[in-house]
Amino acid sequence: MSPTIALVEDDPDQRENCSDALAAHGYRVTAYAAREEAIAGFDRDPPDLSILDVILGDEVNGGFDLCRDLLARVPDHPVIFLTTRVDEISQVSGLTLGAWDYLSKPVSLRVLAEKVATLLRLAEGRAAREPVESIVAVGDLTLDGDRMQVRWRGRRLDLTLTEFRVLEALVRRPGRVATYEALMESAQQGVVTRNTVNTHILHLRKKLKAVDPEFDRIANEYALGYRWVDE
Amino acid sequence: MSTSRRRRPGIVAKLMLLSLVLLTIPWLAQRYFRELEAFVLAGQRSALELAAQAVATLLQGRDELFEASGGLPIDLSDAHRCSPLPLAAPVQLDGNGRDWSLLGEHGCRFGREHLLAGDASPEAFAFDLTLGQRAGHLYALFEVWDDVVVERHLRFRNLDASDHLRLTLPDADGVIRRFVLTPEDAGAMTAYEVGDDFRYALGDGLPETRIRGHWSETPRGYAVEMRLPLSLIPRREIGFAVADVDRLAGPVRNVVGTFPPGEAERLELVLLDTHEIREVMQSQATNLPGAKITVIDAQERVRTEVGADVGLIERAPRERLLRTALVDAAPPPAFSGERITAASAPIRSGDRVIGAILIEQSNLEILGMQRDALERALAAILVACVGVAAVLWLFAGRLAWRIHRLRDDAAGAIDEAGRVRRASLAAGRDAGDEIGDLSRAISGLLGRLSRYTGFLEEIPRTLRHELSNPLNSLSTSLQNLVAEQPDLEKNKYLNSAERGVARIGAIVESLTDAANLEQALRDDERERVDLARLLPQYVENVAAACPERRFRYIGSDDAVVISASGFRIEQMLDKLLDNAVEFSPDGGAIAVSLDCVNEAARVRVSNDGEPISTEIRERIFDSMVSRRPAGERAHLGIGLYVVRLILDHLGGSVVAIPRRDPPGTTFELTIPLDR
Repeated sequence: MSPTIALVEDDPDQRENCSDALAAHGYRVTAYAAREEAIAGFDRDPPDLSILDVILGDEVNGGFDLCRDLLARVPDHPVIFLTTRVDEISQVSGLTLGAWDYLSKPVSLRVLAEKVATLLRLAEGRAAREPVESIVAVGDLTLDGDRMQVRWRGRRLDLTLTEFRVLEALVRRPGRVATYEALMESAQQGVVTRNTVNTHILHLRKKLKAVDPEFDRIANEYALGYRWVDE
Repeated sequence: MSTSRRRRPGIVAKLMLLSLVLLTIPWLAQRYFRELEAFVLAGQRSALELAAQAVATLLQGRDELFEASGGLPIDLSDAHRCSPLPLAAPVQLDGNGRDWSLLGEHGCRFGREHLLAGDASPEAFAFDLTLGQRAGHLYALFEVWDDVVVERHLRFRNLDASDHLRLTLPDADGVIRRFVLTPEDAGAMTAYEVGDDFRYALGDGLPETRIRGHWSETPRGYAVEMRLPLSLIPRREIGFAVADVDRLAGPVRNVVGTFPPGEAERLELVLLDTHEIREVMQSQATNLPGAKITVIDAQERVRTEVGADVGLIERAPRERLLRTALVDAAPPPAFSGERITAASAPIRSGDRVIGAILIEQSNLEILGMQRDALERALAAILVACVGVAAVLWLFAGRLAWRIHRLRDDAAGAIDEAGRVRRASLAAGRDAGDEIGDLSRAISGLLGRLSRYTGFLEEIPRTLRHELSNPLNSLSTSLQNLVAEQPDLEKNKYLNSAERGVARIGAIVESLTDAANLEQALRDDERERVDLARLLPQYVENVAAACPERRFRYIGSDDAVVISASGFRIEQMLDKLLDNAVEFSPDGGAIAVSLDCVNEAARVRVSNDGEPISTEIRERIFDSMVSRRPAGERAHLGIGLYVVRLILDHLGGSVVAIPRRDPPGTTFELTIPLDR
């Protein structure tokens, strides 16, 4: 049975477009226009993954409230925010709530479908708790692609899907420059600028420093990109 | 903002100038006191007029007091009676009668019929006597006919050895005293009190210095001027005689005197006073303190003079006062001089005028009081004016201070970029007056401006938000369209629509970048960034990516460390270099240089090409300002605004400098060094 994707979006055109695209990829989509309606729907028909807009009608934080409710019922439920609210505070708020990724509009439907697929796979992997083979180790850094889990010197990092992909791209060739173009590609978002890459790197550095204050492995290659400093 | 305007006087200076108006108050006070003075003098004059008329009334009809038959021992019609007239001007005792000339006609001739002793030919010996009175002294002028003038010689002790003058007068008790004045060398005369033989000096023989005289020879004989204080003649009775000696130590040949022959002790011939009038006046004088009452008879002779010694008023007004009273028989208007106020009134008897009253009173006392009051009032007014000026000065100073504070506060409420730093002014906020109103009004304006600029700053965010949703609809629709009809993938219209969506997406993204940058900057973690390492690496990488321009880096290897976040510096350089590339021709040179000036790193990015125009130089770093001419590819003017935002955050600054030779533009950044 195909996975059920819940889409909460107050704009009917976008709701329909996204629903159609995801349905074309073989998912079963349940679409809602408002928070109350969505909560009722989740009870009736629990989804495998939720895509939430933040602003729902008059509720400017409707998506966040909904995410909180949802994760209270089903912890580890994969949530993707798809919103026009791209400022730092909103992003941080969304991710802090426990969302797995934060996408800004306009979005590439292909990217959205890929994200959905990845997150579903991750959710499955996490649920299975089986040993996995897809673990990549770069020095002290280990990346578990299936579960989207990253460890630095044995300590676990909480990364969003996008951050995970950017880190993956960065360490693909340790000691060599990962260009902005390569990093943008890995971010898998609709519109990615150098600044977006910078922001992701910034977040990565912060998260790594949080577990290891001495961390200093990501170096700027000014005007070019970033480089993972190999030991 | 900083248009230099000619500095006008401030509020303080203006109020100080205005307070000069206060000086009119002392001036008005002075005028007021002048008028008061005139008023007081007028009061004094009318009081004196009334007093003069009242006193005149007392003597009205009392002819007997002015005639021989009434109380006077001798007939006043006697032509040889001699009485003193007031002297208007001081007389110089020099034996010269010139300064008496105006009184000359009042002189009396004494000759043969007044021979008191002797046998000689009286034709050859006589004298004219003129009496005057001034300032408590009796003055006498003798013009003597004498064929031989003999001066005294000190060899002789007897005083009648030469020509001499004899004075006879009773003291307060009526005892007769006698004096002799002898002419000496060089015109001097000396008086001695003598016995009844007029021969030897009494007592220790010292001269009587209160009597002073001077003589001089004249063609007819000699003239004597003398004076003695009225205090020496308490009864106002005196007799004069002139003794003639023709040779030194010779016998006294003739004595001619003012008292009648054979009546040696009768002295009234020189009329100084009339007892009865004096007594009547005495009581009046006590009623008029500080005043002198003079009674004058119809012949203008002073009959009595009682009261305080106030000096004399000027001659002309005195004459006028007396003439009016005596001739016109009407009380003239009183006169106020410098020091004296005088009034007169006629004394009537039936239709005749028998005399006049002259009252003189010093006005110094009243005017003095007046002047004291004026001085005190002026001093008080001046002190008050100074006080008021000081209070005004304080008030104006405080007002100016408050306005300055408000101005500074208001000027500081908006930064150079026009952003509202404070929406409410602290200065004067709680004041209840107009400045408070002004402060609150400015606060209100700032509040509205703040909301407006807030709205402007929100525009990119709002725009992004509002654009993103329809853009997302458009974008997802196009994607679904292609997914449904794969043969459309190469459709040029669809492709152009996709490019349009991508461009709008990029625009929205850059709008968001700028809008979010300020907040993002606050969250940035700063690290030590060595520009001497960063810049050459950066320029090298850019040069590799952009072979169409000639890039050059100029700088030493010495570390230039600032506190910043590396990728922000990169972001800033991206914008500057994008700009430099865009405005330089193919093959043009772009130079990046680094040095240290005044504890700050100085980065210059220069490019060949058209120099930046001066009009846009100031605004190029503002949001949505672009150098590109309108009509070219849409450009938001965000890049250099981002540069400025980042530099503001680092405490640095940036200026654009046009370069003439070779033409180009240099952007000069200043960033404080890390310490």
